[in-house]
Amino acid sequence: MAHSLVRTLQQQLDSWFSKAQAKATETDNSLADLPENVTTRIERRLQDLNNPDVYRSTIREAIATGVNNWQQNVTASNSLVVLGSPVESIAQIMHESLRGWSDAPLKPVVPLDCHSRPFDPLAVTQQFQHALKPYPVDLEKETGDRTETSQLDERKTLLIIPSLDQCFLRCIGGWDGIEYLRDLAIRNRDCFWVLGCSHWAWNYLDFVCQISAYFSEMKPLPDLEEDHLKDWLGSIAKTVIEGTQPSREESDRQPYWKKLENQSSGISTIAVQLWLQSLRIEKDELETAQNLTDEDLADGELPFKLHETPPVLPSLPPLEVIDRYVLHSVLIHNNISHAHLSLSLGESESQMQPRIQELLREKVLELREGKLSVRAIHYAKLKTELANNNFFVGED
Amino acid sequence: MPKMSHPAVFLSLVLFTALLVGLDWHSTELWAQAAGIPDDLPKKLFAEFTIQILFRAIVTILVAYGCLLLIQTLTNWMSERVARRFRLLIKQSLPFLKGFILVAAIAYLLNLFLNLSEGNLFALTGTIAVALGFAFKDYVSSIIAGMVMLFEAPYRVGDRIQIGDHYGEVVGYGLRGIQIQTPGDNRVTIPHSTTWTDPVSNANTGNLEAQVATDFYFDHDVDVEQVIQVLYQAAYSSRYTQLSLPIVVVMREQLWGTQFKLRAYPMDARDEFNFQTDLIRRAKQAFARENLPYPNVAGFSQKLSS
Repeated sequence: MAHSLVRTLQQQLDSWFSKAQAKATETDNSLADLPENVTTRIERRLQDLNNPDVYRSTIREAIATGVNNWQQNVTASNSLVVLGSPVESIAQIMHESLRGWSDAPLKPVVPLDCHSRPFDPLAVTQQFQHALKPYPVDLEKETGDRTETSQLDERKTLLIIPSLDQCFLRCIGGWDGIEYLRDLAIRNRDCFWVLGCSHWAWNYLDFVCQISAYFSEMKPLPDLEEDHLKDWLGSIAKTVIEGTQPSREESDRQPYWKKLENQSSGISTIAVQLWLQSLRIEKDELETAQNLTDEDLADGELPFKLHETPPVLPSLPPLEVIDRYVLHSVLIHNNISHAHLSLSLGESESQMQPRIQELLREKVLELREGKLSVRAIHYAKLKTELANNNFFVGED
Repeated sequence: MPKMSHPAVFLSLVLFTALLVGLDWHSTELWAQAAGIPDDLPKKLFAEFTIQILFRAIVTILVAYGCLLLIQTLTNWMSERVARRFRLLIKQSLPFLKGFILVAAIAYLLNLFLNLSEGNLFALTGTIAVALGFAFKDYVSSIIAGMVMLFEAPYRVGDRIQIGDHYGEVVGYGLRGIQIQTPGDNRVTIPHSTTWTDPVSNANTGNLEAQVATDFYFDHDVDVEQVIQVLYQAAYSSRYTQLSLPIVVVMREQLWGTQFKLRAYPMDARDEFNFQTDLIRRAKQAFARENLPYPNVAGFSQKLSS
């Protein structure tokens, strides 16, 4: 308890300090928040941004090492779990990592896309059974006396399940599919299984079906450091930030990236939202910016330059008891539809709807393609809030 | 305004002051002679009594009473607004804070009215012991029990306890007794002295979680493995469950059927009944899906009668 109290105080002090710093900068420079149309335009550009290279290289390296060991050592693990934050799209990161991988040790096969949960969560098992039909457990092989060489010779399949988060729901029977996959993977050692999952979902699955006992090799995505952030966001920043003018040295911006690293906890989605939120416009140019049409903004570079202010995590709005249950459930599932959320919480949709609407209005939750997810920028504070309220949280 | 034993505290402070003011030196001297206390005691047990001292005493009592009210209100207000983990920490500090104020106020009042030498203190404690022993025996017993319970801690503020027929959350810890809030939203005041003789059952002993046992009943022919599986999953999937604490299903055979007991912990003991409802709701949906047979009590009664 003492630890969490210290962490809460530290976070609070840090937040006050950062806010004071940001406020001071704004007052000095007479800067204003970005108008909605400009924010939307930059957001669109950010959506087109690939995930950081360091994610891709980490995943590729981990898979290559894992597969190599498995192909050379008959007792080596035949699985690898890539763990990410619940506010990152692990499926997208996995897909990007596999795309254009010319020197992959084996051709990656994605039997089940895991783009979204089926409407009936109990149908996941059938989906797995159907998708994994070509990779059955061969009872003869399992019980027969195969030589070590023959076993190694047959190890030529690399299976990728990009997002386990979308393969379960917190309800009775909701993780039967995971149990099926778990039992299949442990028995079918001729395949190398790569699973993507969020820390929170993994922790939950570990509680309910002891999954880490079956998949022991885990690789968390690395925390983004200041250099990673600079390389990754630098290309977009160059086009919109005042600091890219020759008068301003790149080393002047180094503390900014360090601050962004600290505030974002090294998580890409938080860093992006923080960066966007830290942008300001000169008050003199505000009117010009507000009058820009979509066509003006679509041309590429903005007709004015923006300024970076110290990135600050926003405060959480006051949460009711039910809100915490909603947010916890959303974080376990990464993103979730209204119907699944109500099933997971054991409440009817009509009872949940008012609170969901309130959380959407407060911009703690966001709705994308009909799925609710937590806004990444609130993740760090929300995690502390939930931990202090005795909820289990993922150890990312 | 929280209900509490402030009138009792106020009354005790007033009585105590009146006792000190009402006793004159002569009667104390007589008592000292009767008690065989040597003559070399200082001549004056009481300090000189003036209106100013009386005024200061009254102000002290009022300030102490105000502080007690303020602390009670503040701790209640704060504990309900902070994160769960800190709720009990704040609540449990209440009796100690109140105790500190009482001790400080009484010490100040004693110092105001008395010359507290070693001999005088001895004489005074004897007087008080006799006076209170006869007049407020039960009250004093409760106060002493309250102080002992502070350190033995069979219950603390925020705990869910059962004393006699009363079950609920301890919401107040007064000088004379505790107040518990029952599930039916009644407040029951129980004197501390009850704990000298009656057992106290504490569900969470200072922790946020308390075990909740939920019973389910089935026919003898039910698929036991299936029921156990559903019950475990009901507990694992409930939003209230503290997953880091054990979940257990136990069975017992009854004449009319098979009884299953699901033992699990909610994240907050306050959610006890919501948790139970959630478990039953989830489990019953799954039982209906699997068409599991409930006990046929009517058939059993017929068999018994025939």
